[in-house]
Amino acid sequence: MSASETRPQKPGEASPSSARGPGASDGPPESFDKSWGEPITMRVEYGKVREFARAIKDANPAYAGDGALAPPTFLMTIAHWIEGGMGGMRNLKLDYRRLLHGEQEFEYLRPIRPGDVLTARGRTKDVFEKDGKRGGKMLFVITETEFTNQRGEVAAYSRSTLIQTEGAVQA
Amino acid sequence: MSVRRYFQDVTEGEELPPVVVENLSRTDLVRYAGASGDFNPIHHDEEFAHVAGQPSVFGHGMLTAAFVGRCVTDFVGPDSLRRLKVRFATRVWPGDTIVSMGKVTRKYEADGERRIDGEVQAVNQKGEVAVSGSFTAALPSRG
Repeated sequence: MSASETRPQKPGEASPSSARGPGASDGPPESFDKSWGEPITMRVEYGKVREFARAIKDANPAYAGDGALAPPTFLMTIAHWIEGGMGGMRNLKLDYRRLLHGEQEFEYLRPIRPGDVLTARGRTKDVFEKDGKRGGKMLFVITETEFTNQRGEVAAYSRSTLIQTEGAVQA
Repeated sequence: MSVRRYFQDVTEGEELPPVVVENLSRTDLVRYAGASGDFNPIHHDEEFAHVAGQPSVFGHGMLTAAFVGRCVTDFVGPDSLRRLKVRFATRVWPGDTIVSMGKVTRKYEADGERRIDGEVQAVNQKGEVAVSGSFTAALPSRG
């Protein structure tokens, strides 16, 4: 498990020892580790912003030149470097063959520009079970990633809803 | 392209101009995989997709989400966006044409900002919803 487990826990956060043990695969854990994972730091590069804007077919001039902004979904490029993907699934045993990305939310607090140095850390925000429309249980996992800039300001949050289906994922 | 839009110029129920992406190609998917770092083979490896029971590779949900994001930022300007939320529904396949559209649902003031909320969705050429969602933006005030 990650080094984050040796860090002090904030009040109200589950202790690492209560995180779900190995071998479990179905049903919501009785408790799960809500603590933030190890942060990663990335410099926002102009070339990456241009590459991303081209890939999403967005020619908005705001994403080019001096004072360029990063497009709204650009944070995905950093998320893929975080342990466990988009934030803090490190303490949950999930079956990726049955896992769907159900929802994605971004909250923007400060502009993000090339030259910014963003530190991202992720956590599991919530885990719960629901009955599926076609029978069977669905396990919902909400992960949250916080992006802080070089001035120590929170620039954005990203929240992903992952759904583990009981059977194989259907098209 | 984005034009500076003022709070006073926007009305509840106003529709966002649609953004059309025609005939999405496998190259588009590979380009997005490289740009985003999402190398799940289901989006670029035809053989892998077949073994997984899929008729072909299919698009990254976040690529369609980006088209929806563009529909919003073309309207409000990228620096005005405060929140964007999307829900993934039908998959997007090579050859699909995706139309992103939306409308303003609410105008209000909060946290000292003049804000609008809206709904967005991306539909394919059959009219099936690929992505639906919502947004919040803070607009400048005239005077």
